[in-house]
Parts: sequence; structure tokens; C-alpha cells
Amino acid sequence: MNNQEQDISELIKTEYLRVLLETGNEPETVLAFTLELGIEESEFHALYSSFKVLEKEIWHNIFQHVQIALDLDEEFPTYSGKEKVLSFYYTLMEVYKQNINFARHRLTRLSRQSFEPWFLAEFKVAYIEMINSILSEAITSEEIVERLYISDYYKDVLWLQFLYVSRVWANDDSKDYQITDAAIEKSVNLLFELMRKGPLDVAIEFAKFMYQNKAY
Amino acid sequence: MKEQDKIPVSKVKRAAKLVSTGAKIGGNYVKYYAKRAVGNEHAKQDLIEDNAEDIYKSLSELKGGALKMAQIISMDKGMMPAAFTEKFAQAQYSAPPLSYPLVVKTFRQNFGKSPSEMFDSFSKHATNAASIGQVHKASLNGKTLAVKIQYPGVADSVKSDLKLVKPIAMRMMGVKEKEIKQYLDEVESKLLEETDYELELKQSMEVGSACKDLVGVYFPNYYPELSGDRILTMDWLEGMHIKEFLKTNPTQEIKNQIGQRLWDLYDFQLNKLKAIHADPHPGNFLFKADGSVGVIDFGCVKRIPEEFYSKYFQLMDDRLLHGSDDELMSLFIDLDFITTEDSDEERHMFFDVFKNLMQLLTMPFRADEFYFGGDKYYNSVHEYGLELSKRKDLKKAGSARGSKHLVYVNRTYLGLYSMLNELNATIKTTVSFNFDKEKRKFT
Repeated sequence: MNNQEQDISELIKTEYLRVLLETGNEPETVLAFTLELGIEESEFHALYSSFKVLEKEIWHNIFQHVQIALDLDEEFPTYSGKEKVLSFYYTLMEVYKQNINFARHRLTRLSRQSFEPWFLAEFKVAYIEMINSILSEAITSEEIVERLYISDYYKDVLWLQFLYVSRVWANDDSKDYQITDAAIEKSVNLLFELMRKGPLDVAIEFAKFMYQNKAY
Repeated sequence: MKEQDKIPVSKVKRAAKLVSTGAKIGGNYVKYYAKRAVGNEHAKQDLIEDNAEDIYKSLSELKGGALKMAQIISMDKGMMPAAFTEKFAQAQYSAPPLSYPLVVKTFRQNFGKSPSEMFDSFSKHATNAASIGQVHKASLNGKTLAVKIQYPGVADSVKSDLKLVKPIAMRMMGVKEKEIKQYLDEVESKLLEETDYELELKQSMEVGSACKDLVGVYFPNYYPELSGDRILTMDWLEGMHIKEFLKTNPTQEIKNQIGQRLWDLYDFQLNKLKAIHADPHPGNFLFKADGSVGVIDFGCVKRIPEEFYSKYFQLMDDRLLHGSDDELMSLFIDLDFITTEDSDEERHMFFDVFKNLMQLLTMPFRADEFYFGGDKYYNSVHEYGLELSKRKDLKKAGSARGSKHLVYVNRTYLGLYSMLNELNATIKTTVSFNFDKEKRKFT
């Protein structure tokens, strides 16, 4: 993207958010939208094939904001895996807050059954990439354990947790989002407890034994 | 709508925690009967220990209100079997910690800066867990500081935790809610106050400066500019908790000196400030080898209403307890020990009970010098308590009586007595008030 495209992209995003928040809906058509904005329809299509693509990018931008903030934090690299995940969430909540109307617009409507919301498609790719790198570091430092088959799903569980935390935040009206803070703290604690070497391994080992020796 | 969707969820979660405790306790009983069946004499003691441990674990995981309740219960040692008390006493020192990123976040929220930007150094791990928060050690401009950070959502959860804990606590104490409602309300309101760090800051500075002329007692300075509604910054006090301190084998002279200073501190607060530091658990006192003592945590300050003060402390007067029954009776009525609804028979019964009880409890006040060490005094208090708890006629009439202000006044003094006992101290228990019997008022 060159500078001019960058400017247009910013313009489009700002206007899109305005329409979305004012009417509660996406703009009717790209043509109406670009006419209102005073740009050519082709300029829009050169950047985005649809409003959905545009919104996915906005969500991806939210992730990038968090990542930039974390990169600036000198202490971040010294954190354990658990602390990194916690820190990611607390920073994300701050970015949500800066974009509160937009973030709430989508997240309050997120149902508990929705595991792959369309607007988070790009966000998810970046999130999983980050989580994978945190997890593999945590495995190396023996903070958590690698388990046959099971550890492949760690990242998916953390994705569900991300959805959970986002939903809690969107519906949280406690002072200073204290409920969200507690939800983050407790759910991350739980997941890292489960990923740590512990009773779960003993249970798995026992299940394996029963299966292999038909001792059930 | 949102509100209603949410609250039951967290309540259910907390309830689930307590239910699982209940299940465990059930299991402990199974163990108990199994052991008893094979003739294990220690079975009962084991049972009590197992139960205490499980209850403590679940309470400490609940944080907030429940843990605080545990602390309060653990103060009244006579109330429960020794094993419960020992386990609950642990609640005073340890509970699972808050993550560092959340600490950072809380700072950002309050000050827009991270702790490492605000202080020259800041410990990533908590050095102590307080019941509703935790303490980090920090330094700034050459000063060592203690920074207390509150768990998120504590204030909200105190109430619902208490609701869940009440039935368990009451079963353990063997009383009905109705009987003790006004006392539980008093405790609840104090617990909620404790979640208010701004109030704590104000009270700490107020009491600290009022007591600054007392010799050998020191208080931390508080830093309003480094404090917020969930962060409290004060000087880091050096010193040892009482158990550690006693391990260093201080001389009895030093121990008496410390005891005397504690006594004088409470005497001063009670009679001059009419406001007492009402959280006398051992973690809040730091002893030094030179016989001085540091006092922290003014989250729980009991203000003593003049009305109550002028009535209750007449009981410290030797002449009254040995004087005419009529006078004492009218005082007991004023203090709600005896109500106007009581029958004549009940009046006499409670009159005797409270006269004996007050004679026991105020014994140190009425002596010039009192030896707090040894078991003699505590055993007589404990035995009288046991005797009362066995009396059927008392149970029938409902045994919870007395002004609600007594909860924290008694808790404070029992806490003080218990520290003085550990110090094996002999104290000059002079008090700085004098009751003029003729004028019926304090001079």
C-alpha cells in the first residue's frame, strides 16, 4: 500500500465505522458508500473486495495495536508464558476500550455457540500465531508440558478462551471492568494449571494403561 | 437483563466451590467412621483437622469476604476446636497471588504508568498476601515501600461470599442466623469498609498522626500520590511477626516492654481517639529487637459511639461489679444484655451470667498489674464459655445478646490479650479513664 492508498484506506475505515455505529448496520452498497464519501467506487474495490473484508482488516488492526504496545513494553520479553498471555489480554482490553463502541457492537452480539465469527478471521490467524510461539517457548522452559495429540489443541482452547474473555468484557458493566479482570486472571490461571505437569498426566497415563492392556 | 444474566453465574461458581467443600467434608466423615470402626483413637482429631483444612482451602480460594470471615473467626480462639483455629490462622498469612500483568494493568488504570516506571524497583512477586489484596516491595528515592494492591471485584464479591459462608460459619458455631443477624451486619459493613482503600488511606493517616507521640510504637507514612482506589503505598516497616520474634529469644523485660506499649496504644485509641485499630491479627504487628513495635493496616477501624462507650466502660469499674445489683441491672439493659421482653426468671439468669462473664473479661482492667502469660486466666475464660455453651436454659432463651459494638471491641481486646499471652507479659493495666460514680460520667 502506498501513501495515497493508505490515506484512502484510513478514510474508508473512519467512514465505515461512522455508518456502522450510527445506523447499526453496514452501509447498503459500496456505490452509495463511496458517493457519500466522495471517492470512486473503483478506489474502494482496489483495496477491499467487500465491506466484510474491510471489517476483518479493522479487527486485525486491533490485534496489531496490542502487539505494538507489547513490543514497547520492556518487561514483556522477561515474562513467563502465562504472564505473556495475561499481559496480552489486559492490553487488548485497553485497545477495546479505545474502540469501545465498535468492539461492543460486534462482541455483545457474539453467541456462546459462535466459535469462528467471520469478522475475526484475520485476527484469529495472527492470534494463533502469537499463541503458538508463546506455547512453544513455555514448553521449552518446562512451564507447561507437551502431550501427545492433546497439546495440538492447546491453541484452540486458548482461542475459545479469547472468545470467552471478549464476551465477558462486552457485557461487563462493573466498575473499571473488574469482572473482566477477574475472568482473565482466573481463566488463564486455570488453563496454565491444566497445561502444567500434574494430575491430568496421571489420568492420561492411567487411561492409556487401561486401553493398552484392556484392563477396564 | 445483563446484570441478571451475570450475577447468578459467578454466584453459582462460588457456590460450586463451597459445595465441593461440603462433599469433601462428607468424605472426611466417611474416613472418620472407618477409622473409628477399627478402633483408632485419634480418628476424631484427624476428622477435625481434615475438615478444617478443606474448609480453609476453599475459603482461601474464594478470597475476599470469605477469607476475611475466616480471619475473624480465627480470632476468637475459644469458639472452635484447636485444629480449626490453627488452620484458619494460616489465612492470616497466605492465599494464592495476583499475576504481575494484572498488577501492571491496575497501575496503568490508576496512574497511566507501569510500576517499573513509577518506582526505582518493584518486586514482581508479592511478598505477602493480604486477605483482599497483596503486598509488593518497592523502592523510590532511597525509601523502601510496601505497595498493597487489591484483587479486582473484591468489593462486589464480599457480599455474595458472605451469603455463602454464613450458613457454614453458623453451622460451625452452632447458631441460627436470626439470633446473630445484627452482628453479622456489623461484620459485613466493616468488611465492605476494608475494601475501600481511599478510606483506609484516610484512616491510616489520621490514626497514625494522632498516635505519633506514643513512645516505641511506630506507623508507616502513607503516600496519597502513589495510592489510588485499589492501590495503597506506605513505608515498608522492618520487624518480625510475633512467632518469628519469639524464636529470637528476647528477654522477658523486652517482651513486657512491648506488651506495655501495645496496651498503652489501645488504651489511648480507645479512650482518647474513640477509634480503635480493630484488626489485631498477628500479621499487622511488627516487632523489633529494641522493644519497639510497628503497626500496619488501618482498613478496619472501629469507631466507638459515645453512647456505647459511656455505658460499656463503666463495667471496668470495680465498684460497679461489686456494688448494688440494681445499678448493674440497668446498665445491662442499656447494653442489650437483658431486654425488657425477658421474663423475671430470664432476667435473673442472664444477670448472673453476664455479671460473671464481665468479671472475667474485665479482670485485667480492674487489676493494677496483670500477668497475661500462662494458661490460668484463659482456661477460666474458656471453661466458663464451655459451661455456658452446655446450659440448655441459655440455648432456649437465645444466647446471642449484647450491643453490636461489642463484636469489634471484644475481638480487638481478645486479640490483644492473646498477643500479650504469647509475650508472657506482665502489664500495668492502668487505664486513662476514670468513672465518677457520683456524677455517673467519665472524667
